Amino acid sequence: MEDGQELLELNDISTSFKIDGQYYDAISHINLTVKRDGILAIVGESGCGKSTLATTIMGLHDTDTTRISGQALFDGQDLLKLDDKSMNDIRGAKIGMIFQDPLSALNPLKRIADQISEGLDYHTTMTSDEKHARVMELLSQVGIVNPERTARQFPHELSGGMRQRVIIAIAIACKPDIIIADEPTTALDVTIQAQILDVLRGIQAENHAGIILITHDLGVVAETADEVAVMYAGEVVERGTTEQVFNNPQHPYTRSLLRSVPQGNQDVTHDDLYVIEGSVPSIERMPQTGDRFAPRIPWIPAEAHEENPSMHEVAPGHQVRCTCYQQFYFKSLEETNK
Amino acid sequence: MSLVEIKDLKVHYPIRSGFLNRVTDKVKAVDGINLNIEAGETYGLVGESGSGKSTTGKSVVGLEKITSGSIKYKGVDITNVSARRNVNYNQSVQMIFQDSLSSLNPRKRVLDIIAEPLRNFQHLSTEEEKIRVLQLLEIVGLSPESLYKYPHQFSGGQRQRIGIARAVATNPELIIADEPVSALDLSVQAQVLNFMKKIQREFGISYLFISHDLGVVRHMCQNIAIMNKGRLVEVGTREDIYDNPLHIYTKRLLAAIPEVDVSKRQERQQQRKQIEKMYNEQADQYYDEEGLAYPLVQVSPTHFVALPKEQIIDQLK
Repeated sequence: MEDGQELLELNDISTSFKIDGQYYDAISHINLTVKRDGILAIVGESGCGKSTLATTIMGLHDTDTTRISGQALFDGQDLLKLDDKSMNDIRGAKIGMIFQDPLSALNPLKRIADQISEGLDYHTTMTSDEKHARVMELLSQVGIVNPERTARQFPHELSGGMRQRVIIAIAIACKPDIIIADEPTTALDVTIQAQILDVLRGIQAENHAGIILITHDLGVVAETADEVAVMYAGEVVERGTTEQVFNNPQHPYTRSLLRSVPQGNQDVTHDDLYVIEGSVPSIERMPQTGDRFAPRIPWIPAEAHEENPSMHEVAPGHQVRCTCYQQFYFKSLEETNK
Repeated sequence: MSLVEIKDLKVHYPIRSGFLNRVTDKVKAVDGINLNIEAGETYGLVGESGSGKSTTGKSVVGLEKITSGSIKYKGVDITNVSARRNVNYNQSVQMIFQDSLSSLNPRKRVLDIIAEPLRNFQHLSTEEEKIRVLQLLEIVGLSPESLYKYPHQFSGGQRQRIGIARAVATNPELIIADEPVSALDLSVQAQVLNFMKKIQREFGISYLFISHDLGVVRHMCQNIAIMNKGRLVEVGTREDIYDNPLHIYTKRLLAAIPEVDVSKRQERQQQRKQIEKMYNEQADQYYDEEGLAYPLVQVSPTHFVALPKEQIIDQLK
């Protein structure tokens, strides 16, 4: 197992949903790689397609109403072409998933120990003693102080932070190569969030997994991720290392987003936050050609945008969609307030 | 005189059990808090889930039966219902809720939602009412076509603005905003916060801003109270709390906020570990035998912290 080895390669993935008999793209032409020992953050606002990307990789879509194209190469095979049975062998064993809401992801009628060993029952041939030992090991790995006691409890007896630790324990039970964490800390208090992120980092160091961290919280990304992909309206608009994207953001969307974070040095009654004009178009109204972010920066001339935006390399590993970044500037505050 | 003076507010919930269903214990959701909100200011009330911050907000609006203490609005104790009527309290104090979808009736049109408080307090003709609602929609930046739409036809940010329009309909002097932006995306959050500041500047509204997000609170509030397990652990100006936190709980909360600055990553992680270690070692010194915070002690004209006296002297050395 070498560091930085490519675990999962996403090539030109598009997923479209059927709405009233017609298909609309939720994500279009996604190209990303997940490396061993790396945390790739996918950041974007609600509706940008970041969770759809996760569920596409995991094969959780109903094929009757969803059309998926592209490739997800993992271990020499294309995950998107696998049948249900082979996918079941990968889900939970090779790729683990952590969900946002720990209460609805856990079965309220089963004890914690049984829920963690469910994956072990399916994917391994461990004896019940071995399974018990593994459950204890997992619970202490995610920082639960009294594993014996917690193992016998039911989800409602645990706090939100404890439940999320249990979810992580379930996701890593079979030592997956890839962990997909979809908003793992959104429902938690900040102090608990800090602890859960520590647990994730610790697990990555121990298991040498690759983590896909899906979040809308720029602070979480800045403090946890190695690489970042910023998504807007179903497309990746900028990708690079965390340093590149945060210290030297290029795409107008990334720059605007970073600018709308409350900084704390503003005056409490007079200073306003930066607001991105307009709103994200709904999936049915998404323009199919041109730069999807263009309507939200109307003061940038139309010539600045490409007709068919492609990714441009601005530094090794740092890519930006569309040429408009070269001519982008922020409107002055007076103009914004008009 | 402050606009609102909360004195020794307690809200205890009884726990009943046993054969006779007698009260055997109580949950101290709010346990003796004092705070003053001045006219025209945004007062921040910060705490984690279960700290009692929302219960405090609800008691101020009158949605919660208080166990003891007093809440004075312009000098009148409004825990007494008839006194509340005399100062038009129900009209001058409004609330903005966290979840805009569940706080708007899905079967009512925007017109009826926003006009509801007007119908309760002001007797307008249908025509006048419509004009007023249109005015309110303009204030929050929604188009006139919105009048006949239903809540589900709007995005989260727009719905939250409908909630704000409803709250400002009766020209209130105080708005309790309970986590008004925590369900919103960053760019929408910026819009809503700007609106809140704008209507404050125009109408001189005071806010009790309840939130767990210290970044947002720092942007909005000049005075802040930190709440933990039903009591206040630290009260002060924005500068007191962010630049000179004295209580371990405040320090821990501040250290836990993830920052957007990538270059400070290592430094922040170190600091967080250090404070977490300090918290594990010394937490009991900061709380009494029951595990609750001590009464507040003044350390500067604006800064109060919940610590026994001797310890404060040590800390300030």
